[in-house]
Amino acid sequence: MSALIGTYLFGSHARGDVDDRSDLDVLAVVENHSGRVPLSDVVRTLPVSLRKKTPTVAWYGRARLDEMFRAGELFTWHIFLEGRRLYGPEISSIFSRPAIYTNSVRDITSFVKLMNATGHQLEASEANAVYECGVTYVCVRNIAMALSWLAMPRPDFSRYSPFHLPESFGTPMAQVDYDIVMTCRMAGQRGYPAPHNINREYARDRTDSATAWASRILDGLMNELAR
Amino acid sequence: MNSRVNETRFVVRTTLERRILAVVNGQLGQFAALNGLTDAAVHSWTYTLRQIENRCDLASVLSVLDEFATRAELKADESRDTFELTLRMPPAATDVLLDRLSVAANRTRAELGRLRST
Repeated sequence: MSALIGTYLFGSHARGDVDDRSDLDVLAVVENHSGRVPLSDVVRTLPVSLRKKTPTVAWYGRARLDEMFRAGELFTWHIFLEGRRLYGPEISSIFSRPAIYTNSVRDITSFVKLMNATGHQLEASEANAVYECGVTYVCVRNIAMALSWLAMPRPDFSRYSPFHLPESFGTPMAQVDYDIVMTCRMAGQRGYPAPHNINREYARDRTDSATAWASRILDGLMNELAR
Repeated sequence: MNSRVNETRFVVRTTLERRILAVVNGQLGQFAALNGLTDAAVHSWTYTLRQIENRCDLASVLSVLDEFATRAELKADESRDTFELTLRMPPAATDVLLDRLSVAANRTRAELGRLRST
């Protein structure tokens, strides 16, 4: 099938915790420098029951993904632990086990930096509030994924990862607000209707709360590393 | 020389999207907020603006947004690239497009204001 090496289901469909907000996440591994293959080639590899839904495809050349496996990028652990083969060889027969993920501090720091810039964006225009809430959602979720590597027996890539961490980590915001900022992200990515009444103050409060949570955890990590 | 920079694609993408949204929402956010730069988000924003004033010509703004989205691969929802390292977009091209966007958004705001007052 053209330059397509393999397709792999990951995310909620692979984990079996699908709901009406779930994407159909598919990894497509292609030959180096071949570029993307037609989407229909990927769709053809889906089980018939999933073919009505348009997949969100993460395209990677074999060499690039191999590099990421060797670097221990968290995404490769996601694929390695949860990916389900649809077409082509098993992931483990193409790539070696990912290297240990060692970049949690670097990654968390970059998310905190992004959230720190939210105030400026909100000052520029209140109309940025929905987008900024969406950024906060991605930052919080991914900080929790990075932390789950350190604090849990197995990394947690689920949408509610911040609420699955050990209690000592606390939470970045109430779950009802987490659902709202998640909906904001979907408005910005999928064009869904934005939640009502998302204004500058709401976005600032949620981001401030999330930033304080992440900064406290980051300080703790840095202190542990310094010891 | 290794041109790879120590930033994830999500960071680079968000930084660029923020610059674009600052221009668009700064000028047109009073009419409708643009919440993202994927095809779906831009389509939803266009639909809302047309509901408000369907005589307004949005072509120039949409054309620059499309060029941005194509060149920086912003069209699709790719939340899984959050941790992947990536290459930086050429700053010069970004600045030129932002200038064009600013001019187009300013013109559209003036037109929207005029149409809504008539």
